[in-house]
Amino acid sequence: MTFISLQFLVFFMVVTLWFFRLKNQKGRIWLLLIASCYFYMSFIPEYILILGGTIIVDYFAGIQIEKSEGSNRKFWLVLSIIANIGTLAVFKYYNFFIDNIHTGFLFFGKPLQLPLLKMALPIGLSFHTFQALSYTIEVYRRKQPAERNFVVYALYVMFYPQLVAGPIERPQNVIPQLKEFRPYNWDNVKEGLARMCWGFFKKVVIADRLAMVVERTFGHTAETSSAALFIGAVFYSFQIYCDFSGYSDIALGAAKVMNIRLMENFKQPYLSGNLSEFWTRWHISLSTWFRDYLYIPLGGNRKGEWRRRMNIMVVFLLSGLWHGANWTFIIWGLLHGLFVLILVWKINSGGSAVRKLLGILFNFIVVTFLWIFFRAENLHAAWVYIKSICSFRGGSNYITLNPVEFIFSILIIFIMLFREKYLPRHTISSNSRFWVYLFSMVIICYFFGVFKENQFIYFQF
Amino acid sequence: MIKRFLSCFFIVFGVALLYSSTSRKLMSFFKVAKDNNNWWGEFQLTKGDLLELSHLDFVSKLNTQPQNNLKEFTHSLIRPKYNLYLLGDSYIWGLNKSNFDALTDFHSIDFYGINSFHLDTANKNALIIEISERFIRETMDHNQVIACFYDSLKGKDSENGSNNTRSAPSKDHTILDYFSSITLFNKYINQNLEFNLFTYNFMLPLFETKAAINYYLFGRASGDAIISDDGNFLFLKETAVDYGPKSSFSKITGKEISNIIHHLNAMNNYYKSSGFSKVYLSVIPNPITIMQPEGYNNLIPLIQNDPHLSMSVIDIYSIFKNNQDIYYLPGDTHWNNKGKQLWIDLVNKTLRN
Repeated sequence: MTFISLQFLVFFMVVTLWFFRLKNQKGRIWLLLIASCYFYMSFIPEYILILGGTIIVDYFAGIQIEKSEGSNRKFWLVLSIIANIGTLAVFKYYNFFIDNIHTGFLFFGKPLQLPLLKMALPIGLSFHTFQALSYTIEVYRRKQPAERNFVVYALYVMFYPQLVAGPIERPQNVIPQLKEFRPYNWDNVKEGLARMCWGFFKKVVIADRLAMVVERTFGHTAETSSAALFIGAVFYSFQIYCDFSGYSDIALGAAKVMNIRLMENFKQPYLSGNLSEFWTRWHISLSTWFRDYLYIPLGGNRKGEWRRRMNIMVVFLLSGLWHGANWTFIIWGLLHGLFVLILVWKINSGGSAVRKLLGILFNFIVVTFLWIFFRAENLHAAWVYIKSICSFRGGSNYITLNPVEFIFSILIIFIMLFREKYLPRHTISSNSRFWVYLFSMVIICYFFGVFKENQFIYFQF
Repeated sequence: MIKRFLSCFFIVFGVALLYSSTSRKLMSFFKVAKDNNNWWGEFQLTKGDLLELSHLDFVSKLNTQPQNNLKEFTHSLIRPKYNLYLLGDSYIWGLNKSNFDALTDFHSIDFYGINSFHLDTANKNALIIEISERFIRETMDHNQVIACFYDSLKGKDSENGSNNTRSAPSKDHTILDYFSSITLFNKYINQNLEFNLFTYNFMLPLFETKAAINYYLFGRASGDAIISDDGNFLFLKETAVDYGPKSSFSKITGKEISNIIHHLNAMNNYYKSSGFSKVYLSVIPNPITIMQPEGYNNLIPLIQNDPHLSMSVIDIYSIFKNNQDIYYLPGDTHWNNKGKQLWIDLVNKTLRN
């Protein structure tokens, strides 16, 4: 059940209305948990067993960590980490690891055949694994009491708006909200629905339209001209942004309707002046996770310059690996780390507007070129794509859009950037304006949306 | 009070909608109930299946033009040789004995349907397995679908009393299969919801407006169809993209071809041991394979020319490919009567020899 399906819209209507009909919090969390199970099972039903297994382990590990002292505390934390990372390793990285062993042995002329796992990756595994880890780590750090109510804990991991693609929440933010009875609030409902509409717009009107160009250029690199390939790369930058931030808008909006506030995941990342700033604005819940649970424990910037550099590289390497079991993601992560270290200039607040603009533009181009590794099927394809752009060669300019739709696409990108920069809020105080906005967005999404069975890009992680 | 009533109403309505959209029986009931021309009936466009998918029936050049009738054989000079059993998909709908020359009997079975046929072993039997190119990769890689081929003979006794039942490839059942089979997680739920919520005659103008915006403003078709390069035909999008098993352009591995050949050979052995003297395979090319072949993945030649294939082939692909004529309908996934007639002629010629 993706957010852009009819099934989700009907499901959301039923769950939300039912939620507000219940007069006690116990009933509400049971409803949300059952709804979240249904939501997750609508992808591949049997994978609920994997998710359920890790939830049970982490629930008991959390209680034991809180009860224990000294090495016992560490034992339960390690157990939780092994259960979560182990699940991730088996389902996400096992085949990648075995493939590389095969390649290695083949290189030395000794072919080897180890068994491969024939299972699809459980949807959103990396997200809920990291969310579960943040719980046990916070309990270990004594910043969060262990949750005794299993239903509340299970809902913390499974809360359907953020279950399959984040934001990767922290227990301190979500668990208290799940336990507190919050009455119906029309202003929150309006804000949540308005935000959901904006998310739908970004996904179906922008991201899925740009996807047609991206699929074409990445699928036909050899015969496509440099200019068209460059357009394809730029469009991919906006596609992935509108796809992922659109998902986050729908998730945050859906939670807001039910009076639950989730953390922001994006802050106009393409307006960043350098890569370090980009990572404070892009997928914030993941970058802060790595900061809090990896970079700082590794020493952060407290142990000298070389250690800081190494820590940054480790964080970006693992961030790349988190996205997928493919060398393209690893190289993408490493290059980001490298460029964060190399491209260190900052745009001073007192700098000229032209200088700021040039910084933003340069940073955007760097990010765009790095996205090519993220999108390409393999490293060779990424390299060919980049080389083909830089060769300024001719070739087919066919990008699937006619001139009208091409101009329309650029126009809606600028509208999106303008709106998020200058009208970032989704609060609409007047009821009549709210209904006009809602109706207009539905009409625009229907008539100008590109509807195909496109999953959100980040679902695969 | 009104708010309370409305919220209860929408909860019940939503749950009922979700449930009914997962139930095959209820969906069949709705389908029958909406089969009318009232404002609440299902809109029925008869000018082509792709036109129906894309709501472009207002584009006259894409509409199905009047078709010449197929030839009929009333008196044949040749002595009838075979009972012909035709096992296939929608390409063979509407064919009957008179379209073929010199048959003792004729049976046509839809392999996705529930019918099975009665094998007459008193005469010589020939079987033609007709399959659209876009289905062959999926079909030959899916045990349940392959079982449909075998099911057509399952449980039927031949005239001489022998039992022709053969066991279809078995499928191991585990607890995981139980989870997969829960209809609550029906994979067609979104299509069913669309059917229940929006597929009504009074909603058609909305669909057509969106289709018109896409067609006149952006030069493309909505939904699952795409417009051909010359603008005169529609193709099923799944056959035109460069990924997926239905595509004419997605990569095929040698392993996949071997797997297909393995299943075809197993079918050949099965049907021959069941009493057929001849078993033929006929793969009908996707329209885009013939009309816009640049980048074609050569699926049909790779299957038909595979040295390990034991099943005989009725090769319509080469004939379509080597002629410049139009063999497909402009707004439909199927062939026109010219294409169909050519195929029938080829079948007649094969059976005469």
